Amino acid sequence: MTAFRDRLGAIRRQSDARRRVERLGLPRRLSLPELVERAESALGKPIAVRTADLPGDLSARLIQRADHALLETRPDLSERSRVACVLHELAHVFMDDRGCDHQAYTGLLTGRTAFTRSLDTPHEHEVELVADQLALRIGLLDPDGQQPGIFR
Amino acid sequence: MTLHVWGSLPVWFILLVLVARLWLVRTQSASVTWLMVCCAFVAVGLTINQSDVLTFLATVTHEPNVADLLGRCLMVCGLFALAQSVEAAASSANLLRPSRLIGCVAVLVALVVLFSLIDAPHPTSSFMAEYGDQWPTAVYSAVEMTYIAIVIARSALAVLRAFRTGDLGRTYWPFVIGAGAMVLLAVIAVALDAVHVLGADAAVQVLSAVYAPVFLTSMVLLAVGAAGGVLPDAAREFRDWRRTRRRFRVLEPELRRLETQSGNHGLYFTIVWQRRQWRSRLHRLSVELEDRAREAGQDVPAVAAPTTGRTRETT
Repeated sequence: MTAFRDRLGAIRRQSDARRRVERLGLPRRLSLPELVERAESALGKPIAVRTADLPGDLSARLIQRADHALLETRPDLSERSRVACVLHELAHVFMDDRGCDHQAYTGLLTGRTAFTRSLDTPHEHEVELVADQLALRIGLLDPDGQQPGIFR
Repeated sequence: MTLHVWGSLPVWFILLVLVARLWLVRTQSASVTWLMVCCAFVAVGLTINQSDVLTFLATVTHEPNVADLLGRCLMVCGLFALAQSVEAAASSANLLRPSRLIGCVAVLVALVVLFSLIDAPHPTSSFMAEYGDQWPTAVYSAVEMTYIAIVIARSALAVLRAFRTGDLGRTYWPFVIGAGAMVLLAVIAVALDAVHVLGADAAVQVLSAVYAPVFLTSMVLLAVGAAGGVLPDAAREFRDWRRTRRRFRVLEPELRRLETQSGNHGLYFTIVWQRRQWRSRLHRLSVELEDRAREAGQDVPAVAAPTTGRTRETT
């Protein structure tokens, strides 16, 4: 019975994430830079995406400053993982996540980092599911080199 | 078998391939879904026009030639789905264009109204030959064929535009030629309707003689052209799906091992994966393998490298 309830809960969380992304009104297909632009509009300030040496096993972080935000990923990530990290941080922005609104000097950040470390946080799980939905929108999961088209 | 049933065979073939593909890999684009709907409507719409079905439907509905009306309505719905299939392929697709919906409904209503004006007391699989000398029959046929011609021509133009931008390969040429043949067929059909009403029997015979080969040619070419896009993708998708299933079997134990060694757990084993989500599942598996390996202070396992690595840039 518990397993059944867990299963139903998991399905509901996935559906919630899908609906949440649908409500954003994004185009069916857009590039990562276009998605970043959307996030900038939602955040109300530019987002600089860059790689940087991050402490410990941090994979990514989003730092908000007064006039812009920094989205940093560690340099040794695979392309797939790097994009997944960027999407996770953008998901925080799209979810209007106040937990991301750090002061400029704050080094300990929520976001992707919290996901990789604090896996007991249900909210981070939700953010990760939203990031997976965003991955579908930017074609990260499409077959290599395969563009959608007529009868394809 | 009637001419239309012969013409339906290539469409049935494409439909069969699409159903098999969907059953196996459970994933397809909106364009292919609409193509599937198109094939289903067109195949049934063409197949319905044979004596057994005619008799059955006439008995059930007490309307001798309702099968002809039903067949034409299905063809119109099928062509509407074809237009939707082309639209769905656009990057900013709008599948709820009011003009398109109103156009389709208007044609369907016109067909029903015109059909009700035709005096056709006996069931026949040669409806136009038997009752084509009445003006409502001519308009009835002309409305359907004009709609078909407009939709198929617009679809062919969309394919030609995609040629120019380099989005589509040469395998689509049969579709464009088939669409041209279908437009020619519509012109022949409308001309045939006109000369039939006017009683020009010699012209009717000439046009009837060319109608069948043009019809069969256009159906075969349209089906081959659509298959040119669908079949290579279906084969690739099936190969990818099988390869990915094998990867799951190899990589899941690796993820369990790394979860134990890192002391962290991700979402992979909590998500209820449906079969159609195999690409999302592989993505999550790859990301979590890398996360757990980093947390455990290890390299990504060699068996996972082809999965975690990604060649195509997304930025």
